[in-house]
Amino acid sequence: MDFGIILKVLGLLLLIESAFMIPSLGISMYYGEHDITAFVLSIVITAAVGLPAFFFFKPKKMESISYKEGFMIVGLGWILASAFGALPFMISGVCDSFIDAYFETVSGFTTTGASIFREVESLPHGILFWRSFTHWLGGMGILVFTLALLPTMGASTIQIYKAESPGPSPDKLAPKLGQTAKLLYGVYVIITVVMVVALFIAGMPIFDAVTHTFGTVGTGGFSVRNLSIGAYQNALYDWIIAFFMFICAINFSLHYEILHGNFKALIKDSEFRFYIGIVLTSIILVTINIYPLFDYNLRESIRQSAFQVASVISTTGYATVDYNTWPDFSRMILLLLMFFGGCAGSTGGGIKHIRILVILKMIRRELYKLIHPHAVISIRVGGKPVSEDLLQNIVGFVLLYLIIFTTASLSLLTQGLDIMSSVSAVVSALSNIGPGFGLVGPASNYADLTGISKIILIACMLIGRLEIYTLIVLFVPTFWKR
Amino acid sequence: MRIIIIGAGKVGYQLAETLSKDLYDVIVVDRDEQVLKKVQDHLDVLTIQSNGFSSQIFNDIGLNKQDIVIAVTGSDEGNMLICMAAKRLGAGKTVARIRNPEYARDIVDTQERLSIDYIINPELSTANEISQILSSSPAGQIEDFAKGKVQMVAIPIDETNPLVNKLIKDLNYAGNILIVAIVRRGNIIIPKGHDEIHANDTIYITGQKADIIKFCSSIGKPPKKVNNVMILGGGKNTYYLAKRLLYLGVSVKIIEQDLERCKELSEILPNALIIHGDGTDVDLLKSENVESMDAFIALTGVDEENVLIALLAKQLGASKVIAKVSRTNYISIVETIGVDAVVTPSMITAAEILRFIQGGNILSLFLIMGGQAESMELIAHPNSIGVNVPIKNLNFPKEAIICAIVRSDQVIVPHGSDVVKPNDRVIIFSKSSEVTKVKNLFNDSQGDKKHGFWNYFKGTRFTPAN
Repeated sequence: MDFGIILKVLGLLLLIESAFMIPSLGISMYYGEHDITAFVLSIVITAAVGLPAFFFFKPKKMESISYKEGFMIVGLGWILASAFGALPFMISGVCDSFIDAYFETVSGFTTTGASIFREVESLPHGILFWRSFTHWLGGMGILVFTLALLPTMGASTIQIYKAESPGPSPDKLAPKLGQTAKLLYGVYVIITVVMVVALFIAGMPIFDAVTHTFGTVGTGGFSVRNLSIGAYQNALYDWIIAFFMFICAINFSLHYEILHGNFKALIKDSEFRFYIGIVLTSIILVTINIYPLFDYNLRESIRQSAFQVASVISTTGYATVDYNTWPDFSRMILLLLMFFGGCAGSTGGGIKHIRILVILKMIRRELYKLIHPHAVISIRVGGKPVSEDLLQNIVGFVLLYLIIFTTASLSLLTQGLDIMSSVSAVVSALSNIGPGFGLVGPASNYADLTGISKIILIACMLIGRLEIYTLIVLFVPTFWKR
Repeated sequence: MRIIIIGAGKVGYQLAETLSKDLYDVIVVDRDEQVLKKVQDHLDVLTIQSNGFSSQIFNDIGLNKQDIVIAVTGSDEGNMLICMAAKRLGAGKTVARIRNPEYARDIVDTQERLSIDYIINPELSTANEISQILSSSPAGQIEDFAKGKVQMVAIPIDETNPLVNKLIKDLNYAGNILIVAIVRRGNIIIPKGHDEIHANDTIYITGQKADIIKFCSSIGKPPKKVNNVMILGGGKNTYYLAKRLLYLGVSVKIIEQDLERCKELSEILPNALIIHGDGTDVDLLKSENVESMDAFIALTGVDEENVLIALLAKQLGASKVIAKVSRTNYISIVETIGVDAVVTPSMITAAEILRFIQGGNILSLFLIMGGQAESMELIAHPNSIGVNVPIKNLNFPKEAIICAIVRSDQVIVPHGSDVVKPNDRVIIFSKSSEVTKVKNLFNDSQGDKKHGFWNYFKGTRFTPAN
């Protein structure tokens, strides 16, 4: 393994991260709050570690980053970036322990949005901004951004792209990877700007509009209000945010097609059709179920149900109401949606619709084969056949997801949590949503969990964001053999 | 500008590799998923799995005037079909590989009607390359620049050579030539004054033809005219090569195993001597006087056979042996074990297509050692940063060298204080990692200025440590 190239890319990653802390410093200077020194120190420390690593280490060979090195860079990259991202929380003193600060940063970068703060409205603005900004950075992938700056790395960066991008087989939009990264970030920035403007016009204060936009387009879920979006009690905000949560869980290459006027791509995409079907069905079922709760007010029921469904399925985790108090039927639907997550190539987490769609098709194929034992049936998604390799990869993924889910849930139960809280906390961390049910519901937070529980959830968030294989492979013994 | 390569075989892969490193947008189309996976894992290109013969693929990509379509699938007819479809759907330029000699003859007339801008025939190009190698006796590989005013020649060095174990700066040789590269155990070294020449190296020298002949004589290898040649294998390569050699007045002996093919050859090459027999048979080779041959060329379809029989012929006394080796992985070892020259059709083809694509100020281009290095001839653009500055002040990449400057009819073998003037032809030898940097030195810099920051990133990061 060529550690020169790994350390060099990680050095560049830290340099970029320290540069990304500068806007937060600007915010805290504007508000003149006590976190200025925290940001200055964090920027200096991060850059001081990144700079020598970037310039000192030389890759042995520039031709190729192997699979192994790709996994190392992405796995270590996320762990490191979160550690340095936790510095502002530590230095400014808003977090008491490093685990808390690390939990908050991992939750930010992985776009989970689970918070250990009991109360956020008293936090300095710079810290609030940094918290939300980590969502925005993590949503598209910090390393994909780094890729855009590394054009001479050429072909080899495909390993990094594959390891970090959500979805079973990431597609390129342009022949060169660097261009693809730039195009995706272009789409990302456009959606962000449109949403900030929309919220601002609707009347939200600009600071709130920007931070909530970061939380939405990254499908994160950190809010600057204790009651999340519910604090505003404003139907217009709810609909705007619900709409953007919904579209940010769609494959970004579809957004790119739409921006180029190719609306047909949307209808042709079978994952999108599946996704919209699931969303609409869930909204209808939940609306009917909670109809009595809102005094038979249809408009209010639809609004609450649509917002919560969009929030959970996009793995954002905003809430306009404490759905912990909803009937069990609705809670169960939301819990199931937590497993589903967004579409491949979006900023959302979870198993992803495409994988579930493929597995359903595999089940149908097995049933067919019972009737026609000699039939040869290829599985197609969007008219294109899916290779057997990919099918196995998908089945393996879902099984691994469930194994990790079970193990982590059991471990949390030993920490004194009840069954609903521990199960929902683990799914919510694995799928990068944020709030769960029970003790970790939308109206509460993760502050009271034990240190061990927090560490387990940190691991779950990272594993979930990096699509399981990328991180797990680092723990396979053969990975380290020469 | 996008380049769409249909067919990811040896030539397709080589083209994709060179072009994608050269910052072109490359799309590779092939039917075979496994082949594409290899491309995807090693090259920064877009791959599409599809049957290139259906025009659906071009509709999906959305061709425009800037795009170049290169058809290098295994089928001649398919390649023609692809070019026709591509042109009709809006491609700017099309390139087709057509190897069947019978098509090749007629196609020049109908080329325009078939909408093919450039036809490449690997066998014909390989034959031309071989006949060029034969024209200058000690050389393993020989390339012409500036219409033949400057040549680049590869010379294998054996133990008895007077240059062995001498430092470059101490060398005293006749003729105004420049040693531009040393190939040692498959690695290319751009020599500095303190580098030494070892036995079994191959050196690349450039200079005017007369100077090169002087140099060769001074190291005890005067050029000798080639009068009779033995060719092993009777394939398409052999047909083109024999035809050309016969035209030049060289007598040609062809050994071929298949009786039917022998009969065919004797019909189409009435002046050549066709022998039906097994080339691995030493007695046959002896009885056909291999020892008195000026050159022995192994052109069968099997790489290993070509190399071994060429070595055998060398041992039996043929003065110069050349082997065709299709797999680029082998090239680096073959030249070190005593074969005088190796020809690789896929490299020759790729280089020819590159020359066509790059057009513009690149006049000629050759791929050296399986694409590890390129030698090229370009015209220095008046607005480029490389002109009117002494070479030593140019910040010229270390892994590249200016071989010669041609100003109207004058050939300059450059030194540090020489200056490239606008519109000079500059001949450069460069490792492939530095090609873009070198080209940027002599390209129009006006258009690049607004991308200065980006170019800095492109050009200066991640240079290899060695």
